[in-house]
Amino acid sequence: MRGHLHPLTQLADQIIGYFEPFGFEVCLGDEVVTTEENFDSLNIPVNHPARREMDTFYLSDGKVLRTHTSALYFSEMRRRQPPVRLLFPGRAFRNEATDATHNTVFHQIDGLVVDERTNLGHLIESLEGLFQALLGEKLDFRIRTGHFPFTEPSIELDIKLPGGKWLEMLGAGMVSPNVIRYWGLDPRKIQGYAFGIGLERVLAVISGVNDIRLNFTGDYLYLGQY
Amino acid sequence: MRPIYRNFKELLPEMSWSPAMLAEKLSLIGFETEAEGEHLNVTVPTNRPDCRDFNYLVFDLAACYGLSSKVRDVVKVEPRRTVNVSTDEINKLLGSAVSTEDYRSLERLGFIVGEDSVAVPHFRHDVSEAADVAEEVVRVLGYGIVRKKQLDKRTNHDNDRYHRIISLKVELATLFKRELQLGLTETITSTFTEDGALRLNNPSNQTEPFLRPSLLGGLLQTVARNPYLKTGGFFEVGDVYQPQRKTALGVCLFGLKDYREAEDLLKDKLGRSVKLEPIAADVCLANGVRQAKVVFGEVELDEIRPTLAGREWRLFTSRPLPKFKPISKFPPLLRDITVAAEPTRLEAILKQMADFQNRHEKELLIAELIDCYTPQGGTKNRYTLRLIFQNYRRSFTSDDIEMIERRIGQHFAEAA
Repeated sequence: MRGHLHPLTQLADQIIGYFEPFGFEVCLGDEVVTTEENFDSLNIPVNHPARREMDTFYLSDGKVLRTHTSALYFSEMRRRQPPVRLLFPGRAFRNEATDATHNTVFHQIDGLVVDERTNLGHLIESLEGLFQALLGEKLDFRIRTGHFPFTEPSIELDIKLPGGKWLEMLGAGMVSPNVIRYWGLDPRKIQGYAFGIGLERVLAVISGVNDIRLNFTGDYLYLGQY
Repeated sequence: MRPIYRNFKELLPEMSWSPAMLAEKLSLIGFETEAEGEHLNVTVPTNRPDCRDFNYLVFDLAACYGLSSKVRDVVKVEPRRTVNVSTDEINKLLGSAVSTEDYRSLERLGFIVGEDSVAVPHFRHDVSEAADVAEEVVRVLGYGIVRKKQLDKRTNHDNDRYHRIISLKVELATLFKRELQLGLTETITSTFTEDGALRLNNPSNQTEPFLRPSLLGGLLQTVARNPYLKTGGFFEVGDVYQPQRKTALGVCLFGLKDYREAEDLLKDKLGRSVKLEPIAADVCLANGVRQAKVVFGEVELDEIRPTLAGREWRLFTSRPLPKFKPISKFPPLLRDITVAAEPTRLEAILKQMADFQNRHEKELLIAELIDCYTPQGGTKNRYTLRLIFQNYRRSFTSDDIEMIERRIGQHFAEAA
C-alpha cells in the first residue's frame, strides 16, 4: 500500500510553511486546558453561551477540552515577552450536533503576533498572501467587520469563489486590549494580531471535500486520493 | 415597546428641525413617532433598552448632525464617557494614514471628536478604549484606508519539535520504499472512546464518555473501514490520556507475512525499537476487522529519537492538494496488477497509469504504484499497480467487472 499523509496534515504544513519564513514559532500545547485559558484570558465573559455544557466539554476536575486553539495564547504569553510570532495548530472540541459541516472534533491553526507596531495592515496582507499561496491563483478578497471577544477591531475575511459567491474563510483581528492586559502587558505600548483558521473549511474550498466527517473515517478511498 | 413623551416645542427651535424632520430622523433609527398636541409620542424598539428617556435620545441624535452643542443646555443628560485617543494611535493600530478630518467622520455616528479624545454616545456601551474607536473609524471609512504591508522576514523560530513530528510522518508514509513513496497511511481518529482513564462530565455520546487511553481503538476502526485492503498499514500521531496526557505514535499493520522488516525499519527511523504485538482475533472481530495478521505498536513521541535522513519533507507536503472525488456508498472494486518491465520503463508505466486514470476518470477513484521488486534470477522488475474503482449509482455487476478487467488487460499489455 502506498503511504499517504492525511490531507489535514498536508494543509497544516503548507500553512506553517507559509508563515515560517516570517519567524513564526509552532506551539503544540495541551488539548485539556483550564477555563481561565479557554475563556477568562480571552475576554470571554462568565455568562457567555460558549461556556455552557451544551457547547463545551467539561472534565470532572473543572478543566475543559479546548474549544479553540487560541486557548494556548495565555500559557505561551505567560512565559514570553514581545516580540513574538506564534502558530497554534491542533484539535479543538465543541459539544455540538454532528453533520456534514460540524463535528465535535475539528482542526484549527491560530496565529498570534505581539509586538509594538504590528497593525491591521500586516494582518490583512498576511491572510491574503496565505490564501493566494494556498489556492495558487489570483483571488478577490472581502473584509467585513466581525465580532470576537478577544480581538478589537475584529474582521472576517471572505474570498470570492469561481461562481461569484462570497465565502467566509476565517475570523481575525487585532488582539483586544483586555487580553493584552490579562497577559500583564500594557495595551498602550503593545499590540498585535490574531487569527483562527478552520482547517476543514479551507480543505473544503481547496479540494472540494464536502463532508467534514470524512477526515475522521480513515477511509482509504478518501485518504488514498491525497 | 414602551412609549416616552416629551414636549418638543422648547427643543426644536434650537435644532432648526421641524417636527416632521425629527419624526423622519427618528424613524430612520427604528423609532416610531406620533404627534399628540404638543407632545411627541415616541415608541422605543425593544432592542434599545439603553434609551432611558427622550433627553438621551435627542442628545445622541443631535450629535449625529453636529448639533450637540446647541441642545446641550436644553437637554439634561449625564456627561458622556470619554476615550483618550489620538489620530496617531488610530493609525498605529490600523496601519492607516487617516487625517484628523477623516477622523471627524465618526461624528456621523454620534461621537464628538476632540483633539486627543472622543466623547462616546450614551448608547454605545461597547466603546471604551482606543481599539474600539479604531474599529468605528474603519467601519465608517472602509477597509480601503488600511495600508496592507508584509511582515518582515525572520529566521529566529525554534520549531524542532514540530519539524520532528512532520518529518517523522513523511518517513512513515515512505517507510518501505522511499524512492517510490510506498509506506503507511496516516489517519486521524476520534479522541472519544468507550473506556479510558479520563472521563468527560458531559459527553455528546453516552457510549463514548472517555478520552482515549491509546491509539489502538481508532486504528482498528480504520483498518475495519477498509475491508477490501488485504495488506497495508496505518499510523496516527495524537494525544492519549492515561490519565496523564502523552503524545503517542501508533502503528497498525495487517496482512503482511513477516513483520520483522517493518520492525527493523521502524527502529531505524525512530531510534528505538517498537514492539509490534499481534491483536487477538476476538478483539479484531469485536472491532469489525476482517483482515488477517493484524499487529499494533505504540510509543510515546518523547521517547523517539528519530534518525531522520534530513531530507526536505516539504517536497512531499507542499504539492497542491488534488480535487476530491466523491466517494459512493457502493462497494469499491480493487484490482492489483503486476507488470514486468525493465527498470528504465518505470516512467512509461507511470504515464500509462495516468492515461488509464484520465480515460476512466468517472469510475477510477485511485490509481497508484504500490510495490516494486526484482524476482530472484530475473532481469525485469515487477511493478504492482493498485486500481480502485467505484460506481456512484449502483454496485458493480459481474459484467461490469469483466469489462473493467478486460480494459485493464488491454491497456497495460503494452507496458510489459
